[in-house]
Amino acid sequence: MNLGIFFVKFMRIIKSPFSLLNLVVVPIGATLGLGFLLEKGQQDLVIPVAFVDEDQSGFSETVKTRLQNQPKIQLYFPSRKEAERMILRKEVDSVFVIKEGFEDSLLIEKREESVEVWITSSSLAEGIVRELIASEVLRMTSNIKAAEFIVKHYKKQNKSSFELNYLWQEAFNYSDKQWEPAPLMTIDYETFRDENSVKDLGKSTYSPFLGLWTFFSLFSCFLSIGWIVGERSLIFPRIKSTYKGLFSYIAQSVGVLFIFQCIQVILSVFLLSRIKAIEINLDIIVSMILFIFIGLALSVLLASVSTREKNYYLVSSLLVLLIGIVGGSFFPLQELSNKLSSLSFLFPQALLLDNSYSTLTIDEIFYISVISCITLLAIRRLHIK
Amino acid sequence: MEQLINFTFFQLRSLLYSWKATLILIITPLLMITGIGMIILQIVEKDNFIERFKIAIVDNDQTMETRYVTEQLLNSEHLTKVTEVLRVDEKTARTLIKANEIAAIIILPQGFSKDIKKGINTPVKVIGNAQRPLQSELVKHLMESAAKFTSAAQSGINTIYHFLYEDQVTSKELSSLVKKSIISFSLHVIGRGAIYEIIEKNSLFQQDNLQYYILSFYLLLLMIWSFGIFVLLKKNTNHSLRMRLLSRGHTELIEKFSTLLTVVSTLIIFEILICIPLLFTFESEIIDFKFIVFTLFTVFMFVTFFLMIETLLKGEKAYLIIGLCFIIVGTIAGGHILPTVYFPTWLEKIGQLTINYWLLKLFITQSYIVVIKVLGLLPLLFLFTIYIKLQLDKRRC
Repeated sequence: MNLGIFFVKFMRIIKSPFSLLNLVVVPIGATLGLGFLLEKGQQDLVIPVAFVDEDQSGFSETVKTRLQNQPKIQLYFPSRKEAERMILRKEVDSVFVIKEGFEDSLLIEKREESVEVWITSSSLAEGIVRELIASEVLRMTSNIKAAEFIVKHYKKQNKSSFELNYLWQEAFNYSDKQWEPAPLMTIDYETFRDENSVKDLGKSTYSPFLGLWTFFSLFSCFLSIGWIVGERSLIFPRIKSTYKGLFSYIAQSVGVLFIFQCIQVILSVFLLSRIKAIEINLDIIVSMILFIFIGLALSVLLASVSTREKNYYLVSSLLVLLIGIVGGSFFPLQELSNKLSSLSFLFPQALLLDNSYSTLTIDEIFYISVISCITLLAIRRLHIK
Repeated sequence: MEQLINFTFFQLRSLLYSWKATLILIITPLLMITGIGMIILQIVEKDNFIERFKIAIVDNDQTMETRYVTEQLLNSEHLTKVTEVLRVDEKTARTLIKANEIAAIIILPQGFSKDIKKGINTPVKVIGNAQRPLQSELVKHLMESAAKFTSAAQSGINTIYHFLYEDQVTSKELSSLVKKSIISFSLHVIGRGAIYEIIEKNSLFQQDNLQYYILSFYLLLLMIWSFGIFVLLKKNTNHSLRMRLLSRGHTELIEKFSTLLTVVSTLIIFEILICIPLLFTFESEIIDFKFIVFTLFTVFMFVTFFLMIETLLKGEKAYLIIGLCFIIVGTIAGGHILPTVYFPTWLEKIGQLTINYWLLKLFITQSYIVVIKVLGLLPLLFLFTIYIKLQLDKRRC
């Protein structure tokens, strides 16, 4: 087999900085840059909430300090009037007003409507904050409830009111102490991946890096195939007349691109494992290389039906955006709807994102062979036209 | 002037000539954005996932207390609204999670109830499925609050038990009183929402989420369209053709200017096409005179911006890569998906550097004076950059 074309194309790419940039640097750079932005961004997301304390009591102060320790909530302490302005200007998600007499009414076990919640039609997360504040208030009311229960029990024994008061305080403190050093029930969160589960260190389960890599690699594949459309009308007819034929020309040229993309894969795996976004194993490298193969096959397919280079570029960028969004490159969209998730095997990202890098399954082999057949047909089509 | 008009018509014709590509340009982003918009809206409006998903509870303790805890979980409105709970043993649960059938496993450890009665913290293990990051994150969040509620109730129950035990109540009475308190505390937990009085505050110009996302996706659509249309208009003129055109007095400046006219006028036609259905669905709620002026401003903004990028970057691929990156960053940091108030400060600062942030502000808050102050000179700056770049190129010729 003569690989002359292969080496010529190979050298051409090495000598042109822009091709190298497009093939290797852009997918990795964009993945890392946007990945950090997305990961850091979603970790640091906060719910802006205004907290108005009209009671100014020990209880409301306690609720306030405990809320301030919540990492996901950004608390503001405006006056009632200012809070109203803030919520209408959409500077906060919702406003919580601790009404005057909050502590007193809790103490007589009348907790109903002791906190005002202001929401607007654009509040997104007040439900979460409501549960958080409710849990803090519940801690207090449970203490009170227990204390009252005890006092009621001892009342039957004709104790003096001084003793009863003392008992109440004792019971309240005993109940509150149960929260120290840790609450009675907490959760240990772990993430299940492959066979074993891994302890989660406060990080979110969702890592955007691999998804973004699929998007930018696919985009890079499509961009690198543009020349087929450009050369089609002028150069292809001439190549057909040579004895090696068009098939060999296309196969060897695409082969060079494949080699460069594989280098990109290796570099990506190395860098992504350095930032602990993935673990290096053979499965993931094989899946990524297969993904590249499918990406190139799809591009050749699109190139074979495009007549003009600029149309090809337009359609391919829209197509990549579409595949990227629906296939879950940016966001695990399939999780939101069962219909989408049953369709997700149609998208090449399924290789990497869906099966948590398990080894090749029959589905995938079938998928890859279908793609290969289509590609061969596409090249044939280029040959005939 | 004549040349300008001629060239503009020529370019408009070429768009019509490649009508298939133009049609794809209009329709694909429209469908894509509408589809995603619908999904996001359903989550936001209904405050939950579209379809319920399954989770498994493994009770390794099998006592009355754990049954009560699981019962409470099963009865929790927040959990049942989004999940379907299966009670299985640990082995089955692990097989299910491996097969990606369930989103999470909740494991109540052996000795759980004994410890909790003694006041010892026993963590409940929650295992989230890495293949379903959103769902497992939600389960984690729900379990965190469920743990807090259980702790509150249990601390009360423990107190009652402790004090009654100290008082040397007969064991029969003790157990009946504790049982009574368990019921009373679980009702107490269930009724936690009663502390709130919910007041809805709405001003006259307040947009709800539906309107926010319609405006946000409308802007995004304008952005993608203006980005795509330059790809269609991009011409492969080589040096010698350039010289010939120049000798006819056909400068690149005229070409750029006519491209600007072509793109703006095409986009306005696109726009009318999508405004008509909007107008029918929302009557004049969204679309008024201001809206039209803002739209024109937006189109001009995006078009000059992408024209500048196209002029600065010679290659087609470079334009595509850089343009797409601007779109993605603008979408995320500009607040198209999630309003910027929920962003951490550093991300909001990045957002303020994007055009999208300010344009969204223009449409949402309608505080045009602020926005015009920031953006007003920007299109002129873009045009000036284009001019400088062309002058530099000319010198090189």
